[in-house]
Amino acid sequence: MIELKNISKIYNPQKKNQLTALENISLNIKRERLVAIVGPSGYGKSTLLNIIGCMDKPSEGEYLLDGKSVVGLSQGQLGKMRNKYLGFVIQDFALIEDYTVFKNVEIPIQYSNNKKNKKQRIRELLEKLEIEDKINEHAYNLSGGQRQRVAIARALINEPEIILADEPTGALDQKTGKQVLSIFKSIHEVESKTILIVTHNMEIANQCDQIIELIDGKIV
Amino acid sequence: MRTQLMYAINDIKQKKSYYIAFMLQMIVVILLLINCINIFNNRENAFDSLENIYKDQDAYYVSLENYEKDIYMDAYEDELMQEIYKFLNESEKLNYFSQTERYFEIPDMPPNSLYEWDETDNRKVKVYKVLFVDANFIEVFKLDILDNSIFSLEEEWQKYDNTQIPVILGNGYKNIYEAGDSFTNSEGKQYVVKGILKSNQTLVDISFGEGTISLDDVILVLAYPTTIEQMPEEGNIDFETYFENMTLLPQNNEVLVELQDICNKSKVYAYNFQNIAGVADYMERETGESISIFAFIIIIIIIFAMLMIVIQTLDFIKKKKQEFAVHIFSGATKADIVLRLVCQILIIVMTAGVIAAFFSKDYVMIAGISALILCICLLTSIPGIILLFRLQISEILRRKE
Repeated sequence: MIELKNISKIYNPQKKNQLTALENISLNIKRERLVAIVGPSGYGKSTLLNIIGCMDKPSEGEYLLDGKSVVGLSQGQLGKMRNKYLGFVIQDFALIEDYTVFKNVEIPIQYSNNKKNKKQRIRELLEKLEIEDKINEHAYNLSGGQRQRVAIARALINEPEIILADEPTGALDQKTGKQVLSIFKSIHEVESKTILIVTHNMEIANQCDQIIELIDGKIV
Repeated sequence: MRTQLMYAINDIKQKKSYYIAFMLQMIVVILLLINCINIFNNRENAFDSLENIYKDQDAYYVSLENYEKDIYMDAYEDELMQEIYKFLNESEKLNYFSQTERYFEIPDMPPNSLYEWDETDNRKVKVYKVLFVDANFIEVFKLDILDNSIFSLEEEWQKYDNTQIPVILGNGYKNIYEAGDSFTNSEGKQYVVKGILKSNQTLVDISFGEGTISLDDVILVLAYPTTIEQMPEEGNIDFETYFENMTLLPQNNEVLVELQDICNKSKVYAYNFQNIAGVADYMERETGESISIFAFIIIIIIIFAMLMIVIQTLDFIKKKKQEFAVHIFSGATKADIVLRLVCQILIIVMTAGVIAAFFSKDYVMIAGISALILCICLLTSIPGIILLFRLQISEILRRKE
């Protein structure tokens, strides 16, 4: 599903402040896997996630997403890839505060070709995540756990094959963090999604099928 | 496009007061520009037509030197007036036209741009601008009359009887009166509408020094001059007033000298014959200055509006960068976000144009000015767009380590 071949990412190339964030990374993540990316801070985890998430382009190497090469694509084509294949969940939820839950979850649909039964799909998904009653609430009225569920709903609404989660429990207390993690496991098991979780927490990493450890921009 | 239009409308709803202020500015700019262009065009047309008058010959306007002097008309002065009257009518080498400004109270007339308040007998009344003009005036200035097939100046002159005074109304009256209608002024005189002028006609008012005046809200009364004694039984304006506001178009200098010699015999009036060319140049400069002031105000407003756009777009992008990041990881591109900004500007400028159309009927000009303002607004939003393209979306979403 995700195939990286000799990927490198160099910031400010050939300048004094040149920084190699990723060096010669090759990895293959198969469909329906639950993968943890671990490693110390500043060692390239987010850069890797951004490249896998088509938010950033590698300086060198090849990236195949569902068998299609991503490196040479235009911004518009990358946008379509993100919309179709990827769902993002990040640590601080990235909800738009003055939007309602419905409007937050609706965003990926707006950029998708499939806008059919929009209201029904959002309602059903929120029901699964047990926040259906919050559908018309503004994001600023929600608790941390509820906010993360909305972020998960937004990531899932277009039924992407891959979910990228960057420290999804980092901003939550232990109890809520466990609930959110169980949601991810359920999505992985029931809906057969490929999930990549960037985490510092080895307890979470140990529950995954595969652990990728990054140190100094290289896979250990 | 539809998605970004929807989000643009949402942005406008969220920041109503800012966008309303911005839109009001745009409306003011559009209306001021239309006004300025109209004034400029009308001024050009008026001075062109004036220049056409003295292009091939000298033109002089008559003015009184000692206007404040006590006027005592006697038989001698009356005879002199008759002599001038006769000379003007009989001389083949002297053309002329006359225009006299008055204000009448006309009950039940709706207000227009040229009405004024006048206080007589402790009563405040609305008075309307009336120009007493002769047939030559209409011909010299080539004033166009709507549906002029029903109106013949010469014919009107023949059957003039002072009981129903013929008038031609400016285009602003076309929804109130039509040819054949009549109205009465506060003195009980009845006026019959003989025609309506076509819109946007102007003339340079030399006699009263008012510069370019629009004829849209003017009532043109056909002047039928007579001597003082015969008023009001015959005619509607005394010959002295008629002559005093006359413009002379002599074919040679001798005929002017002849007329001047007759005028010099007067013991009451001292007439001056002023060459129009010099006065017209002076008035052209004067009206040019008033247009410059208008243009200056417009430029200030435009600069202010443009600064507002620069500040607003930069602020908008800084405040909404996380929202834009969410849209981008959900499938949008930076070009989509730019489109959202463009849609906001487009909505505001178009709405301003539509509202401006309620105040001014120059639809083509409104469309042109709105398009020009839209281009300026888009150019002004370039710094904001550059900022947007420089934003590293992945950095905005970077988790706190």
